[in-house]
Amino acid sequence: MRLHAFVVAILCGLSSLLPVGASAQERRAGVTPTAAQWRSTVERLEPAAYVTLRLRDGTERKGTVLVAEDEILLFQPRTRIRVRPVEVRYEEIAALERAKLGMSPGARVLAGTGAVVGGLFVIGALLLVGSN
Amino acid sequence: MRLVMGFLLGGLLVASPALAQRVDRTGSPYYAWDLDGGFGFHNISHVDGSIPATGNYSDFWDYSWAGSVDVGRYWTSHIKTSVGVTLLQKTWEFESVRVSAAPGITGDQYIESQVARTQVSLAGTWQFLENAFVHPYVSAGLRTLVMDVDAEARPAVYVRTGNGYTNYQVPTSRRDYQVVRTRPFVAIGSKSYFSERVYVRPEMVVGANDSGVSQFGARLSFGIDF
Repeated sequence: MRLHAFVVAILCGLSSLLPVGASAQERRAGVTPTAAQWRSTVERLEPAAYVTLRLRDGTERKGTVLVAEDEILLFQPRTRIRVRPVEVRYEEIAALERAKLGMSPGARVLAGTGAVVGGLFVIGALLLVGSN
Repeated sequence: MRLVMGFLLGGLLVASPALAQRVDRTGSPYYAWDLDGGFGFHNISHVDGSIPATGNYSDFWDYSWAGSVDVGRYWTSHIKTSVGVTLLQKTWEFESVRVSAAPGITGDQYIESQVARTQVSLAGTWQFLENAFVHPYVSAGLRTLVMDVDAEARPAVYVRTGNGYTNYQVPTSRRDYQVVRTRPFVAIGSKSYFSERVYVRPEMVVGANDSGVSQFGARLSFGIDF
């Protein structure tokens, strides 16, 4: 009898978890902005806003918001050689954040090389001074 | 120098009909050619970089600054073949040879050689990413070291006599010849762009012979896609 009660209790406990999980999922889905909310957000951006755009399929791109239309957002991806703007449906958007244009990778390589060479130069100079 | 100028001119002539953007099958745009010049160092083990190769002296390395020019041709946005010329510092080498100083007398004559070293490389490259501002890449190919040797024999032959040496005067002589060695190499690097077409390209190169790693270099090149 005790065993029977124990099994029933376990089953009840497990079954109670299922609806809890489903409702949590629903709540999470509710947190993601709707297409209308994304459109509203995009419409309030300044012209040619530079953003990071993450889509529901997991792809992420940086680029410029060109036009916000009713159903789609016209987005210019930041690529080295200019490509055609792409249309993005609002319901495809998972996240949209402002981005910053930093130094070009080439400039970063030069800065890094300069730092390394400069560091070696300083070390060499210190060793030279120390040996005298 | 003539070789480099000829190489540059040839590269530009070959490239001139194709100054255009291409689009590969995936729809990714790319420029068909690139040209860059760089500076760095390229160290070669003695067995690869000395004349003559009298044995395995791979414990010794010839350290050298290096200037280079490369022209590359892209076949897709990922695959490139390239040819390059690297100028290394001149070296001086000394050797003694056994010669006849007079009838029936042999001795040692010293030969001083000035060696101008140029490397010509052929490489195949796989470039990662498409139409990005940074393209890491790996390369593999062959580097041919051309050593132009200007050898001058000293005007004296030293003959061992008892506890010392006797110095025999002989006419000096010069000989110019070429030594050529080809070795496989691999390289890694990245093209990091300042703009759509102008880039800086740090690269590390490792070459090998039968006994293992025999060349190591690093350089920073500046170039343009066209």
